[in-house]
Amino acid sequence: MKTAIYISSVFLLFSFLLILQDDFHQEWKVTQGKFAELPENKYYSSSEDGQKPVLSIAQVALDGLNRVDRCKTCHLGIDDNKFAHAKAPFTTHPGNMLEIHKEKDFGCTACHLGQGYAVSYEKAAHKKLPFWNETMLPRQLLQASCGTCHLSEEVPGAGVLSEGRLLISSKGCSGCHDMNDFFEQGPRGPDLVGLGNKVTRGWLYHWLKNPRDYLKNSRMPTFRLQENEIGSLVEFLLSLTSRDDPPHKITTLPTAAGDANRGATLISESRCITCHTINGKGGKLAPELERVGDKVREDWVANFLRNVHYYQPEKIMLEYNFTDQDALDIAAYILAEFTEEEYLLPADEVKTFPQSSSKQKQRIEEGKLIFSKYGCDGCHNIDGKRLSPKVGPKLTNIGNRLETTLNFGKIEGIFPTLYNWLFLKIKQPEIFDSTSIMPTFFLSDRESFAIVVALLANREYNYSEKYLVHESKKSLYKKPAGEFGQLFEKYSCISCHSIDKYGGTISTVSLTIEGSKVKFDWLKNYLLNPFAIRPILTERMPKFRMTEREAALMADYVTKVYVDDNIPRFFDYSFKPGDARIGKNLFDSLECVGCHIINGTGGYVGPQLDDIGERLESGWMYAWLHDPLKYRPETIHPDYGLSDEQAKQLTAYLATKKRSGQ
Amino acid sequence: MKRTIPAIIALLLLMAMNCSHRNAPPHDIMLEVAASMDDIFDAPTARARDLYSRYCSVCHGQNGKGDGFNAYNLNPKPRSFTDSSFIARIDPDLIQETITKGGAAVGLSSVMPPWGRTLTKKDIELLTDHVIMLSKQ
Repeated sequence: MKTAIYISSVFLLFSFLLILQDDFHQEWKVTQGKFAELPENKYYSSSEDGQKPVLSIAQVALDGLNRVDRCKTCHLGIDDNKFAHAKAPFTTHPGNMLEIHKEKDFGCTACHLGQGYAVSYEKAAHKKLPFWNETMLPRQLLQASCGTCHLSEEVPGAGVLSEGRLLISSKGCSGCHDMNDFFEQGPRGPDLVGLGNKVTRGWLYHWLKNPRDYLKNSRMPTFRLQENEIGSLVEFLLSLTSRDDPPHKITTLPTAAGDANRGATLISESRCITCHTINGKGGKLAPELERVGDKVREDWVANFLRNVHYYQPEKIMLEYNFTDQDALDIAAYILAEFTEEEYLLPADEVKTFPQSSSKQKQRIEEGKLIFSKYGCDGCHNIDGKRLSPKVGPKLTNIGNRLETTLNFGKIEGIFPTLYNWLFLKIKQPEIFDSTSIMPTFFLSDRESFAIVVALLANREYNYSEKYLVHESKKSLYKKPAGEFGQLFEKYSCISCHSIDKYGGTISTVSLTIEGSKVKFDWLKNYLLNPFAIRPILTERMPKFRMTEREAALMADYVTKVYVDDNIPRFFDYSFKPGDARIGKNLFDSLECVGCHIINGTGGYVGPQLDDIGERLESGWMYAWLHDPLKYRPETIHPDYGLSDEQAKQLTAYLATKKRSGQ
Repeated sequence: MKRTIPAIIALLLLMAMNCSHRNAPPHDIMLEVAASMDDIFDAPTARARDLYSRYCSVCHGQNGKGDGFNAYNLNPKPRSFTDSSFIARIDPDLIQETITKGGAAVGLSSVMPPWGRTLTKKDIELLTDHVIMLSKQ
């Protein structure tokens, strides 16, 4: 018995020593020892009193982020440039991220994730570990972390995240999924009331089957519908007809009464390609017109052109002031030119059609159910209303989803992480579950990657408000009042131009301070007869065919209301005699003709200057020359650092440049 | 006993096969995709390329041949960066100074504008590197 006690006490003592030894040789202590021996590390190797530094755990506790990070216990040189060439784990953080987000304020795991408390390589979860919820984010996906605090669509310095967030908005994910409110919400597709008057049955059938068959860049994704589902859906959608007649109803058909040649001239005069793509050229704002003749009913085209805002309550396209005959001529041209092949119904579908009215009613009801099932009203309102709630799961916290809850179905050979699951799911929505109703968006690898990064950013951590960066999308824009407001709406100015960060981007000209820039007479004439101001830009304003009175009214409002108080008015009065002459010399010595055309010679980069004195207010030229970046940060106009006097002299010279002579 | 030995061997073989099956590394698809996105993960180079194409290429040409669309109009013609022996002879600091202060400030043509108020010092350094890189292509 005694021997047993001796043996066991020796064993116990031995184990105790072993544990002690283990404690002395903890991983982080060994690491700190190695750090002390680095050649860069003069402080440790020859500290003043010759003593070795005390080994210690470095810790930063971050209340607002609910995190405690001890990473610096091993990453000792992380914010000290001296260690830029040291090896991991001692090397300095790459880039300037720690200058913007100091380690003492943000820690490490807020961006990199992982287990901040841990002081060993494995326990800090540097590598993906099965069943661990928060292991470190791979370097390539780090931008997801920017998005947990930066709550805006575009995040400066985070290109992939911004790309993904913009894609989420533009693909209309929020139609089916609850998304954070900085994403674009609301219907992405057209209101469907009146569809029955607009499209042919054959086209609608093929469109629902695969939108890309008609339009290779279709914004509408492909729903993998069954044949009978398509049939019922067609029946339902065609039952959505307009209830009353348009204000200017045209009853004759363009094929009978339209002159296609005249229509062709009208189309090119009206600059339809500013917004529509025709034969591969043109804008992306509006639908492609190449095959529109295969899609629409013959009687619809002319009526649409004559009553644009009746058919399009959103008023995206402008009213062109076309007469009945103009509308018929353009329609005749469109139907003759933009037609490739007639869309025919499949034989089965033809057999079941026409049907008895009770059978038809039943199919309409079926179609309505299918419409709700696939969440079509996520993108398409019917008469301004939504029929059913969102069909997809909420994604505002998808980044928190536990990997153990993911269903990979029959897919094997994939590293089972949330990001890989999301990647496969958005590229091929039915991959894990063949009954999925999520449509296919035909995303490229790169697009999918960016979207996944943006989705991983949707994490809920209860960070304190002081860490969150909101960028409000709210704009100061208010719909203008009075007769100008009506004209502004009629010509859909806001579809192309922006005001106070609201509106379209087709035109590079924001109207916010346009009134301080251009002169009334010039603007009035320009509205009547627009031309390209910049020689290399092919986009230009369409010809609105507005009356002289309308042009005068609009020019008057713009030059009085859309102004910036910091840009001087009536600046010409401050010119001194001789200013223009000195300005001319300055103009020559700065080689402005390198980019601008004047007197028939010069470059094609900036606008021509021959009539600049008629077009622009002197106050604006002065303000611009003084500080171009202030007014347009993206400009490539060089800032020559002109003095007040020089800017004024140059302006005085430019103000003399008038075509009509002084 | 005679039966057990082959049984054990068979079992071991099976286990080995199973192991080798497991050892095939699973695809980490997202990271494989990231490997092809160099423009994002090599941010400085991508930024230099963007800056160059925005501010310089109209005159100096996208590939630095001095053949931008606005070059025909300029006198003297914009510098071609493809002459590697010429660029190699120039001090990078001079390139940087020319971009910052413009041609006139360094005794060259004033057709080259100064960019020091438009771009940051860091961006101009990136552009300098880009110009040198173009000369080596």
